[in-house]
Formats: sequence, structure tokens, C-alpha cells
Amino acid sequence: MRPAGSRRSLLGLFVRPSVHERPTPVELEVTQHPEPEEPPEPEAPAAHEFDPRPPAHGAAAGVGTAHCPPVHSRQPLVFRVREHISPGWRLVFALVPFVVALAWWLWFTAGEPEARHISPTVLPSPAEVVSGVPKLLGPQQLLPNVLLSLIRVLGGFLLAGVLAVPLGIAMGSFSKIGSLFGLITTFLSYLPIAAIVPLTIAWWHTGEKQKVGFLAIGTFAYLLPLVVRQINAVDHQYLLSAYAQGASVWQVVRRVLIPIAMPDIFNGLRLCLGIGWTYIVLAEVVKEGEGVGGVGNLILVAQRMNQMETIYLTLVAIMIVGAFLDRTCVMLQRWFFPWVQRGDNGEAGAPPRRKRKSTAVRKPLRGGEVA
Amino acid sequence: MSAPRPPVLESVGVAKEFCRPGQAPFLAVTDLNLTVADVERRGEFVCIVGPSGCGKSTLLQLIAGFDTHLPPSRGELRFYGKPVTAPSADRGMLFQQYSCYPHLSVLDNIAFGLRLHAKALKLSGSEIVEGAMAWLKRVKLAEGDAGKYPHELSGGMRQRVALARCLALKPRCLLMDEPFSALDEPTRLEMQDLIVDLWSQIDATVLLVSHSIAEAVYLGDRVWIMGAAPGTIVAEFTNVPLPDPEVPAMVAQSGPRFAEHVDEVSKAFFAVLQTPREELVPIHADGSGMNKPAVGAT
Repeated sequence: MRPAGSRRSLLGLFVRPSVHERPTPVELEVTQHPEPEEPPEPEAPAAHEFDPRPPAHGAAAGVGTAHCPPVHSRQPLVFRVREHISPGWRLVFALVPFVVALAWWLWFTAGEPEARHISPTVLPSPAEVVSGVPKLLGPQQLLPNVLLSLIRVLGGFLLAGVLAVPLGIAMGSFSKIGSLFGLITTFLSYLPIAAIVPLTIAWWHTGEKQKVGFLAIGTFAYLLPLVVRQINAVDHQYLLSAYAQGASVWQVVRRVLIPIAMPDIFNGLRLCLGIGWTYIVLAEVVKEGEGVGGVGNLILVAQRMNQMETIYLTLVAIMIVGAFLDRTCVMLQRWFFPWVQRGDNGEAGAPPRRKRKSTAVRKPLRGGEVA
Repeated sequence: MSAPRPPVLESVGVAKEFCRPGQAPFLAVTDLNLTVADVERRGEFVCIVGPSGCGKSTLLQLIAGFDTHLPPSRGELRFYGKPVTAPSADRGMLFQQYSCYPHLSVLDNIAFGLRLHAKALKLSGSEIVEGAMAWLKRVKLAEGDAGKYPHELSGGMRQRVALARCLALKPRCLLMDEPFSALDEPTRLEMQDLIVDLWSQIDATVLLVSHSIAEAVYLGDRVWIMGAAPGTIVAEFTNVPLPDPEVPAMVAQSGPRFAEHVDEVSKAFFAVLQTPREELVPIHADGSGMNKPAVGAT
């Protein structure tokens, strides 16, 4: 048994000696230490003996520290939830699908073109694809085409950003403006982007205006709701703090709402740049004349000439450029918004305000008169 | 004595009902009759305790003058004799959470209020930085923390920054809505020491909402107990001994005298909790109520 003296001194930390009759000290004693009277461990096992029971709470925890009991993890050995893995292993795991795909590809496309499981017009062999690289970089001019597409995407993206970010901020900040455009925004986000290509050609023919216009519309439709949502997500308590210091409406919008939402708005921009980059192919449908060129055009021409390897290579190039754009945006994000907390893998993580607690003031209540 | 100064805060029969479309109207607070006098050379320190959801925060936000709460549905709320119509830099407010702007460094956070009013206060950029630096030191933050962002700080340090930001504008009234509730116990005691220390330096009336009776008794010279919603103040303890700035909170709160005072307030608090709402009588409504004259008169 635990000696009585030690228990009193332990409780002394929690229960202040009081002059008055306090209503609860006895209950406190019981609730704080539910098992003080529990029969103690019969005999602490000797250090060298293996004790299969899980380490007991209380007094037994400090006994036998020389012997570390084995860890009984509930997690399986191979797949552990949120396991930390080293960058090296990360890379190894990332490369596995590529290796598997390459092996599968080599095996399926081995042998003479006529004897293969898959016809080379559907899937050329790796060697055939690699042999297409010089042609793609040379006469087919991959890099100038990529650059041309990139400029179109950036043009459309900038146009959409210049329109959507201020409008979204205004809609998120001022409920009346939000209501004014809210319904249209909802409709707009269900706009099938691919289907408006014929429309844009009808409006602007096939020149650069059509490409940039198409991408601007597509990006705008995605971006606007994102901006509104991020402004709405700024916790109301930040606004109250600013109001309490006598900030005007304009000061609150400019010094609190916009800067706090900006990292997430930037994240939305990054997302939309990626979407724009994948949609460019749809806009570049002209084979000759005004507005020719671009990666989409490259694919279209290759399709007509039955050059499957060019299509595959161009797709790979589009993905590589997309990934590069994304990484650049992430780096810019770190540069612009050093206050944003980052997750474990270097991605921009949730800023502190996302940790919601129930006590936070959510939406302002609307004050009304007593009838 | 010169001419009597108007009370810092005066509330006459204030009630607030919230109406949300599609929901029944909700009476958050009612029958608030209170006066906080402007004590010479120092304000009063009023602590408000009550069950959760009883309208403590609503009361503070009414006083702060947020337009989501104004005007009161009934009664009148006056600050230094003038009706409260809008938030003002005179009334600083400190919240439990989200207290620091995440995009500003510690120094910029403290300077936030000064920058808002730079023109009116005729402050230059360097004066603002100096002022913010001085407050940084007064809330016992290290100079090296000036450039840090809030996410790099502990909860206690964040509350220090928020406190400095409030006080930098020299408010005549400081409203604190459970400012230490999210902190661990040692940090809480540290923050209490800081408040006691700063309060002896600034000339401001403080209204502090707390869920801890011990905290309320320790810090306040007046403790109000609010009943369940619709919230109203049903008991008042005046002349609660003020803490001695020389004695750390941990020491001061371990004495038997202190325990006695906490006990007295706790008993009243439990009595309020066990009384049905309809039987609770707001204080000062007609001079009656559960108004206790004093606690532990010395």
C-alpha cells in the first residue's frame, strides 16, 4: 500500500488547505485519483524478467527503468498511418510506378511491329518514342511551341486574375456585392469549359484573341468562387479586433481581410494556372493560318500524320512544364508569404487561423429590434 | 475633489435580442443595469463570471460597440456619458483566440493600431516603431521577438502581443473576453502577473470575462456573476482585495485568505447555477437582488 503520508502530500498539490468548509474536497480527491486505493502491484518484476502486461500506471511506471519494455504498437509493420519516411525512401517510392510502367511498356512493345500485342499505331515502343525526340525538338519545334502556348496561358491567366481577384475580394467583403454576383458565379462554375471553344471561335475567329479569351473565361470561372471563399474564410475575430481599434471599413478590408486571405488566394491562382495549362490544348485547334502553333497544334498535326510518338512526347512535355510551373508558384508563395505555416513535406499547410475552436465568433449575428 | 467625473460605463436597462431570419428571436442579455465609476488615478477592474452561453461575450461586444450588436434592443449604454454608437480606439478589446494578425510580425502587430490612427495621432513612421518597441518591452517580450510571426510564438506570447497592441492606443477601457482561457496554468499565472503589473501603470478601466472564479477574484476589485441566458447580472461583489503587484500570482493565490474569498464567490456562483432562471433577480433593478455588499472587508 501507498503510505498515507505520501498521498496527503500528493494531494496537497491539488487541494489547497481551506479554512471554510469546502463542498468538494472529498469528491475532488476521488475524481482526481480514481485508483489510489487500488491494490498495488504485488511485487515489481525484477529488472531482468520480462513482464508481458502493459506497463501499469502510477507507481509501477517508474520501476525497472533499466529495462525498456518492448513497444506494443497498434500500427502494422508496413503501412503505418502518417508515418515519417526519409526523402530517400520518398524518392524510391515515387520512382516505382515509373519503373513498373516502363517494364510493362518494354514487354508489351517488344519484337517486330507486326508481331506485337499492341500495334505501334496505338503504342510505339520506348525506342521508337525516344527516336522521335530529335524530330520533335528540331523540325517540329517543340520548345517554341511550348513557349507560344505558355504565353497564351499566362495572358489568359493574367486577364482572369485581374478581373476575378478584385471582384472576388469585393464579393467576399461586401455581402451585397456578393449577393449581386453570387448566383451567376454558381452557374459559371458549372460552365463546361471544353464546350465553349466553338463559341470563342465564333466570337473572335481563330487568332490570339480567341486563345487568350478562351483561357481567361475558363480560368475566371474557376478562380472567382475560390477568391470569394478565401475571403469568407478569414475569421471574424480578426475583423472585430481591427474594429475595436477604430479601423474603418476600408482599413479592415485592406489591412486585415485581403492580406490574411492572400496566401490562399494565391494558392487558388496557382491551381488555376495549372488548369489553364491543361486546357490550352483545346484552344489550339487551328491547323494553319492565323493563330497557328502551340502544343495543342503540335498534337493535332501529329494525330493527322499518325505520329503517335510525337503525341506521347508532347503530352510528357506538357506535364513537365505544368509541374515546373507549379513548383515555381510554390516557391513564389514561400517568398511572398513567409508567415504561412508549412506542412511536413514543404507544401504550404494550413495557416494558424484554420484551427477552429467552437468559441470563435463565426458569422456576425444580425441585430434586430424587439418587437 | 473636483466635479464628479461621468462614470466610465453606464448601462440602463440594456437588453439585446438577436433576430435571424428563419429562427426564433434570441434574447441574449436583459435588464443590465450597471455603473462602473471612473476611479481617480486608476480605473476599476471588473470581472464577470457566469455559466457558458450566458451572454458574457455579448455584454462585452455591446460595450465594444460592434455594429453586429448595436443598437441595444432596449435601454441605453453610455461610455463616459455618451451613448455607445460605434467601436472606438478608447475601448480596446482582447479575445481568447485569433488575437494576432497572422500576416504581421510581432512589431507590426503591436503597431497596427498606431498605424490606423497615424494621421490623427500625428505619428511618424519611426515614432510608431519606437512606440511599438516600448510596448513590446512592457509586456516582457524580448527584442529578438520583434520580427517573428505569430505562428512562431507560444499562446502566452501571442496574448502578450495582442495586449500590447490594445494598450499601445492607450484605451480608457480594456475589454477582455476570456483572454487567458486557452493558456496552460503556469502561463495563465504569468499573464495574470503581467496584467496586475500593467494595470498599475495604465490608467484604464478593465472589464474581464473569465470562466475561472479564482482568476476573477484575484484580478478584480469587483466581481459580477451572470445568470443563464437571457443573461443578466444577478450578484455583485465589491471591494474584492486587489492583488499586490509585488507578490506573484502563484503565491498570492495559495493563501488561505484568498481561498476564503474564492469560496464565498463560488458559493454564490453555485447558488446562481441552481436557481431557475425565472427566479433570478437582476441587481440594481430596484435596489434589491442578490447584491452582496463586500467580500472579506479588511
